[in-house]
Amino acid sequence: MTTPAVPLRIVPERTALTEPYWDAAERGLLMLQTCVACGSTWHPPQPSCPDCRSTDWHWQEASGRGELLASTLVRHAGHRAVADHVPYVLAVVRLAEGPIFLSNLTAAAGAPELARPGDPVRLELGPTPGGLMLVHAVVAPTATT
Amino acid sequence: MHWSAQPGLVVPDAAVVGIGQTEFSRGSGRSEWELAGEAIAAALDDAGVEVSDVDGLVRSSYDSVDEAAVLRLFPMELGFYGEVGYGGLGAPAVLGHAAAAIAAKQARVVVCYRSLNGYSATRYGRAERSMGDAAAVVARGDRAPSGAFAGPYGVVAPAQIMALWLRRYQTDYGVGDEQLLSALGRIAVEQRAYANRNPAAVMNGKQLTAEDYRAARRIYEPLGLYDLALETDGAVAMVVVADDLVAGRPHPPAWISGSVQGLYRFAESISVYGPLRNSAQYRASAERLYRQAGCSPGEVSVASLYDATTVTVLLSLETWGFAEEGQAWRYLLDHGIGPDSPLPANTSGGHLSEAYVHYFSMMAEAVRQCQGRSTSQVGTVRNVLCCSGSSGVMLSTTRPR
Repeated sequence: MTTPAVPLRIVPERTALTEPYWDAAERGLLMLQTCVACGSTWHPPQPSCPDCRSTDWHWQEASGRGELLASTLVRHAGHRAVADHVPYVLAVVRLAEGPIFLSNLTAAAGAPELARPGDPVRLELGPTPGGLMLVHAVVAPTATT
Repeated sequence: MHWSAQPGLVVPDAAVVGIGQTEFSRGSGRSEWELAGEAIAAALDDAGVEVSDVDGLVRSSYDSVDEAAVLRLFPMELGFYGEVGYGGLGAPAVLGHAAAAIAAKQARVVVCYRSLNGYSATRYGRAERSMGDAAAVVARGDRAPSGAFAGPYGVVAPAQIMALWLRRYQTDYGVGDEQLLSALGRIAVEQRAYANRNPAAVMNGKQLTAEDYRAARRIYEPLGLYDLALETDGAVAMVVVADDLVAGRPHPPAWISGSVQGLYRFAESISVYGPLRNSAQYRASAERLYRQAGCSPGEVSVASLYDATTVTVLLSLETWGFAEEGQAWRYLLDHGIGPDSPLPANTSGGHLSEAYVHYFSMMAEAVRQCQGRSTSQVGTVRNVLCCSGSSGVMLSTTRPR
């Protein structure tokens, strides 16, 4: 009797810096570093403030709100890990806090690939093509639905 | 911008005088080590230079064949070696490094090479290279395409990110799908036409019409099959010599009249965090190169514009001054990049239709244009631009005195 194949997952490398980030991401929360010295906030994580170079920063939970900047429908699987997940949508989001965030885009109703730049999105926990449950962007239902 | 040299002040100290390459194929049946040996030997022969003359090597940091491996094959005794990072983004700079070493009198004869089994081994259009193929793949670092913040969401190929760049371009400049795909299609079709005049091109003999381009299956919307670079096997090498060694070489020199390795936050990665590659920082890098070389975009005769996808050709036309910001799609519809256009580009077929040797085949073509040896030779060549994102090298047929 053959053993069913274990699905191949794409897991993020976790470093000392990003451990809190991924802990929160797996709970559906986005954490952003915020500089105590100048108030800047940024993503992806790095050891010091990109604007004033201070190392005095802390993690802050993001609002989860953002605006869609761009999206693409991925039809082709470029790694066997995602072979069972195509098609899926990738999206670039401008967070309400300012930084840019990359993730999948799903939709509470309708096809996510039909979302347009400028549409509001919310960050929620959900399954990804890498086989994980992670915070990602979800198209908010439109006023007309 | 803080660069203050007077234009044309730099007199080139070095020129490319020879090129060599292996067959470009999908399945070389040989190791990258062997391919490198063949390409380097061919380049030395083309340059009329002896192995014992070579005292410098420059390569891509991505190459599996390091300098020590080359020295097992060739009894060179080096005084200089170097590597350029960031893959395709840095590739033009190998010529810049060779020129800098020669100008500093740290070397006199430098070989630049790239060897890549990009079809049968390392496939850049897939993520096994950076993420491996083990039971659980780990996405590392913070650089797309397959870094920790991208891989888990299914980002596994550079072209996915370039599709997102294209969508932002469309929004920023108000370009609809029809117009955009017509513009990008010109690139794909015209580069295939160049490849059909180049016997070395992998796609030689395979016609591509505008209808074929539009009918192709979509890969990462709106990009389709013919918007993407080939994955091929092959190696290319070039020989760069000091100015006093140029006389007596079998072929005319391609003077290295300028080099810029532009780099700024988020430029290095194929990612979504920085501005598009037609933005101010990239244009400043281009201006830096033009000032060094003492020429303007209007004095560029032909160009090798890095085509990881058709998207980078579109953006390059704006970055490097051939079209206004947001207008390259219109430029392509009006002019294209064919032999009768104001700027013929990628005249051997490029990554889309000749081969993918991480830009080295396109630098070899730029040298051929300087030397009058291209299969799509432009009539009068003064300056040939080689550019990729924020990096560029200018090759010139004359050397100011």
